[in-house]
Amino acid sequence: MARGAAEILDQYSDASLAGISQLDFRRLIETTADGVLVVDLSGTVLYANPAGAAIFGYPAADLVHIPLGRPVISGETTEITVHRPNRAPAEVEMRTVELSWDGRPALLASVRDVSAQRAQQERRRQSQKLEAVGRLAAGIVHDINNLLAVFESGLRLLQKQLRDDPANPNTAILIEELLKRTQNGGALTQQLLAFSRGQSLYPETIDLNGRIEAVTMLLERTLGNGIRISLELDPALGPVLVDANQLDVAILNLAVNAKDAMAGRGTLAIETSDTPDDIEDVAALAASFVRVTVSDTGCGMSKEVLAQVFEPFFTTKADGRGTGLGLSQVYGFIKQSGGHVRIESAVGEGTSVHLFLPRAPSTGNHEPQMQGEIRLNTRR
Amino acid sequence: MSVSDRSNPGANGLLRLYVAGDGPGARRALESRLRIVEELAGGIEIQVVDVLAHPEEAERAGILATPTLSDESTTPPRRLIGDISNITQVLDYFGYRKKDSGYDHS
Repeated sequence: MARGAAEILDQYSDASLAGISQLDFRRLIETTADGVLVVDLSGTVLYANPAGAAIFGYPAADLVHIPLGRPVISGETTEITVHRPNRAPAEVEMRTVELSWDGRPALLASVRDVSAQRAQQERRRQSQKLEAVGRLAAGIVHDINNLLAVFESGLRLLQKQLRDDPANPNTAILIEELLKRTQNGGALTQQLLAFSRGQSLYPETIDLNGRIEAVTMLLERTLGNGIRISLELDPALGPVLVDANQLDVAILNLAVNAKDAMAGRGTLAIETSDTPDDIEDVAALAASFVRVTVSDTGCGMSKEVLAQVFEPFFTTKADGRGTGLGLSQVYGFIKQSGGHVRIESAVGEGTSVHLFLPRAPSTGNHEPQMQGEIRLNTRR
Repeated sequence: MSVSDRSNPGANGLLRLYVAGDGPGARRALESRLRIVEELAGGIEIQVVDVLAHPEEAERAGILATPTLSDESTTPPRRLIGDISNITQVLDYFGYRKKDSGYDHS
């Protein structure tokens, strides 16, 4: 040992170390908190200091002559897991350099137990996730409230229709629509569950125009008599690849925002286009997307407000009226779908929210195939 | 890097890669394993042993740390511990030649 240390000393010939005895060097190595292992080129341990031996869970004398294996030499610290008898494995950082030991080439591995730091990092990640789950739960409360408003008006309409004209075919359509909305509610709670488990969303190929028409039927009742809904749906619109329930929730969130901005009076326009304008001025980008725009004739937003609208919890609504999570859901949905979102607004001139949704890949009879692939890639 | 040469490099063609679970270190090692197998175009087989799933195998083989790439045809076994992503260093140590590289390490 002492000879080995002396050789290291010779290599560097630092004048300030010249007066230090070999015994002092030996003490230095024996008492340092970091593990020090010397291993020959075939991987047999030649020396281990007490800290190094403790990391491996053996007395130093037992570790010597063990064919541990040759530590990989690299310029950087590498991470290994050390398996000790009757103890939990240790996460260990290792750095290896070449040296001469007892006149022969050997390797010096410095090892440091970083298990405690790793465990702390893991706890921090977990708490960040719980925080996000809490945020999402608050968002779901907001969405469930929107859904309840839809149900309330749907049921009132149903009540009126049953009283006036029970045989009206619209009654059955309305019941069917309300049943579909229950799936939205189920999807919302699934969303929270999926997020807390770290699952991805489930995109599928859908007919955007059809979906918008279905949501609009209920919106008409939710938004009140003072708000007119204008639909301009592009008949040439191609299918999109998004999570259908998330899309419904996004449209619902945008419509509720529009309603609040218009204070009960104005026009909500939903428009789709198969040939959207350039996205962020990139023409090529637009080719892989379709556009849906939700516009209102409401109060609009100032630049300052516009800069913050996608932030979770940002709201201009009075206490108890909004959670500030509606647009952050829209943003999250769009980003997760691989799409883009753009908002145009000016005070007094209304707001237009453009959603650019990814087209479904166009292969013949692609639908069942697509879904199979997506399940594999995104679920679990 | 100096290694003791083999009379017939790669004659056995069987190595064992000991990993622990499926953490980032293990995943990196498994990716490197695939690259090594690809590099030698079938001239090598690398069995994977998860020491958490098979602690008895690790104990029998005397594996103290993972990832460890081990050639158990020699006594004592020839082993490399740590990041095995530097394929040249790995192949060199175990005495394998890269396919069509013309590289002679002996």
